[in-house]
Amino acid sequence: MTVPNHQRLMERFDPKVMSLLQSLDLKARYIVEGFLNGLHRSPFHGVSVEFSEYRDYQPGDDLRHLDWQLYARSNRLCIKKYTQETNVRVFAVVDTSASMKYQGSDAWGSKLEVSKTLAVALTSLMLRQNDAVGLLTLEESKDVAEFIRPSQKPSQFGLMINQLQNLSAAGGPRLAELLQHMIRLIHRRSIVLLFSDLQEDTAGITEAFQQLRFMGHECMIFQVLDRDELEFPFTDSAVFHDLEDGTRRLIDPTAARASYLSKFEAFLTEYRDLFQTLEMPHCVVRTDGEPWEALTLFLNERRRLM
Amino acid sequence: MSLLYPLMALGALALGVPIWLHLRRRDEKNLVEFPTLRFLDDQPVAQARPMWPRNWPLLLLRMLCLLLLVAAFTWPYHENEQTIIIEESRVYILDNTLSHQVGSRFSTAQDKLAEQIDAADIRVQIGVIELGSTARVLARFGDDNSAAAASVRKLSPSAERGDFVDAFRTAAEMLSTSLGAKRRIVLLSDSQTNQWLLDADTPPFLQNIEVEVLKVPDKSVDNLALSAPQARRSTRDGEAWVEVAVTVQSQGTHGPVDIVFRDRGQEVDRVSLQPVSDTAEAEAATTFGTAFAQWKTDSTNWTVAEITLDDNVDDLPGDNRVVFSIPPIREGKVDLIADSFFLRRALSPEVMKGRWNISVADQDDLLDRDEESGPDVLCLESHRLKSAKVRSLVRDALSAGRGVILFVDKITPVISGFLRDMGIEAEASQDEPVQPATFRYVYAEHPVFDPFRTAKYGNLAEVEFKNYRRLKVRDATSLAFSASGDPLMFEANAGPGRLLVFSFAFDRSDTNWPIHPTFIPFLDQALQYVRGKPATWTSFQPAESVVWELPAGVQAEQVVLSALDPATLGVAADAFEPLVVDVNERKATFALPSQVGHVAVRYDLAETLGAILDVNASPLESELRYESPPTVLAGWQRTADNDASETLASDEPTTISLSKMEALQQRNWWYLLTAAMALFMVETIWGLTAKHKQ
Repeated sequence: MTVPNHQRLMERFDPKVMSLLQSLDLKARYIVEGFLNGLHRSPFHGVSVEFSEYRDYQPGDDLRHLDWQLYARSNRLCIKKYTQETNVRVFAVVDTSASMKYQGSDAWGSKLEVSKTLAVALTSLMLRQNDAVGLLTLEESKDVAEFIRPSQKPSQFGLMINQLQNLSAAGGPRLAELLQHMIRLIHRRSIVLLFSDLQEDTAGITEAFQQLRFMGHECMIFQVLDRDELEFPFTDSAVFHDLEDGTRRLIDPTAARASYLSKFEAFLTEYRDLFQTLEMPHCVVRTDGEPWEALTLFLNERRRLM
Repeated sequence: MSLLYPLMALGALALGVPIWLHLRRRDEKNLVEFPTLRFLDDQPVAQARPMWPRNWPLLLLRMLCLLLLVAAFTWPYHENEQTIIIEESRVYILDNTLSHQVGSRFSTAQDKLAEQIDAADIRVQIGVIELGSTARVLARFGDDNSAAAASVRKLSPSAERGDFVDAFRTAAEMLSTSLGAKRRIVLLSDSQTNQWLLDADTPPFLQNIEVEVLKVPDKSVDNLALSAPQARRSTRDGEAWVEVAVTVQSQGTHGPVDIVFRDRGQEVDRVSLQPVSDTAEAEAATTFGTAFAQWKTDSTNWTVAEITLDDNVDDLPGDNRVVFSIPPIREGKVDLIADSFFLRRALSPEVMKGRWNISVADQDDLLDRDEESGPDVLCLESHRLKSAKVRSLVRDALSAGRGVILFVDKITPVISGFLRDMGIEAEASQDEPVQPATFRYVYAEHPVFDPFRTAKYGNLAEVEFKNYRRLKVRDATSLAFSASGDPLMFEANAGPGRLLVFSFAFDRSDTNWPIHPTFIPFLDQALQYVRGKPATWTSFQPAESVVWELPAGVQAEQVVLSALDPATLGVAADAFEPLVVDVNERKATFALPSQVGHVAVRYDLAETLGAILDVNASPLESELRYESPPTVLAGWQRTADNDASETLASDEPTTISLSKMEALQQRNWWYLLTAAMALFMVETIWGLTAKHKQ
């Protein structure tokens, strides 16, 4: 496995293009194809596959799978056949609280949109190597969590896309509740991909993450944040309206920036420490940046788990 | 408008909508939606969103738009000082028949009606109907009263005769859609008895309508009237004479009466009638006497005459004059294409001089005539139909409205085919001998048999037929049958012209008719019939509707009617304007003038007279007996007794309720709606511009 060259990948990503793409499928394909083309070789070739048998070459077969050594030895054209291991079950969990609908001026999508795109992209990658992928969401408009059972069928991709496309962000914080649902629904050891801005107090969700860890699940946290949240670039005084609880505050950004940034850094640190303690991979995905880091993180972790 | 009116509430609601929308749609400046406001909890809490309009012009514009919309839709129902609550709907019927002219009653009623219309309250809807030969609506509900009064004042007395029920039905129809709680018909008439009795059996049709008949002055009426004259032209000793008989009707007592006869404006005779000596008998009598007159005339020219009562002063001068006319005698042209000796003799100039001008065609090429000089009648035997030219001649004559008499003396395939085209089928068994026959069944009502209903010209039943062709009807009318049921005479429906078909020839081998006394009279009658003379009925009543059929041989696109000056036979200057009527399928429909006199009929722009129509008043209008109040009216009223199922109308005054169409026809409605739409466009552009700026 070769880690993608980050600089090369950056050249292949254009936030403007992403913002122009309407379909979630197209966005995910743009990311995945760009990611794969940026690699020196396929991250999956040789991963989780085992040689099973030879068979005679038939015209039209992929020449990459032709065993040249055998041809040199015995003057026979044979094709190698492999068996891929598929004992990995992956769950994508997407937070749909109202804060996820925020989209800054430089972002190529809202936080929820970026989350959905990443989820679809990773689903695509996993299905390519016969991993079973499922989905768990909890929308405010629905009382029960939407759960798609993991499957490695090709049709699972369309099912996932359909479900993700219909997601909308609304309502107050519900990440803790979503994690509780996950704890109840997932029994076998699985990989959990969590897409959220984590805009909640750690007190409520620490316990849930600890339970997940205790149950043996491998959690990867993709914290999706906007540049405005990270840098607070506002200059003019304005009324700020909270997306989740509706609070309105008259803010002078110049005066409030230092305080805000320090608090936000503390917030990030708190979560970073939590995930470090729980040994959960955590990466911050910016809505105005390239998503490769998330994909790289995922591939690295998957390789580690294999 | 009442505040409790539903549309008022809707309007108020509509005014509230733009305020609410304005506040809801207001764009807040400097508002940032932010997900991590909890990290700014040390910042002051902003005041609640102010619910106060910021863009006043936009709010006012939106309110104005909706206000105009509401006004547009409530306009037809809006009550203001001009809104009328109709309390009564009233229809005046003004009798403009001849009898109403007695003692200037018509002009009195006319003035009275005009005054009443002028003085009518605004809460009274008024309609006016003029009763002439038909009921004519002068003013409808909603028309301006001053215009209605003016149209009443413009009326001139007519010599027409009309029907009360027609006027009442028209009035009832108007009242059925009226708004007034009280509905009334006011009749301004002389209530002539015979006018009421015309429709005594009419079923009830006046429901919840009050009828007021203005009382007729109770005054005895003296009147003398001339009835329609009976005139004819006769020839004695080679000279033409006009013979006229005219009846003088009377009411009341009168002295001697002079009756003057004028031809072409010149007095030609004067007759004095003496009254009945017995006074009691005279008062009861309706016929004063009958005057006869005769004078020499030019038979080749029109006789245009009038008869007047000289120096007579009675209560109704309108019926003291009658007119008549007699057309000039014109020889009919007959083309004879037959070999029958008897036909040629019968139609020879010696026999038919002065009646028919016969041209005998020995050869087909003798028949070439132009359109103008074409014959009135084509008389031929069937064997001449072998010539295509003759067949074409017959078809052309029929299509031009000329007459054809066809004697079937021979049947060949060509003749059989031609007859089939004429709607007559030749039977196959022509060679079988037929039994001698006589006329057994005759269509006696047909005009060709008119003179033979009496024995004056002989008995047609004596005519024998030794031989005839077996024909049967396909699309024609059988006029006479033999005892065995074989048709002997037909009238075919082959075109505008008339076609008489005889299943025999005038030959002694076929029939003894040529030596029977009825032969010449019948032949003349048949020629007269197929000649297709114009309708002999040229006497009409004032304002009567006429369907005028063009006579045979006349091709015209228009019929021109004008008043006739009897002296010059030109257009009378002081009468009605000439009327031009289009001809459709050789027929023109028009209404005659409402005054007594001669009307000239001309075709297209021709100078020559086509016909003269005599317009005389109905003698019934001279019967000046009145019935007031009329008992017939009670029978016209629908009451609870004769119609229990009908519900009575409310006595409450009715406000104007407009139909959808009436509402849409209001100009203000459209103005308001258009203004509202225009303002909406301005509002939209304004809103878009403001958004773009932001």
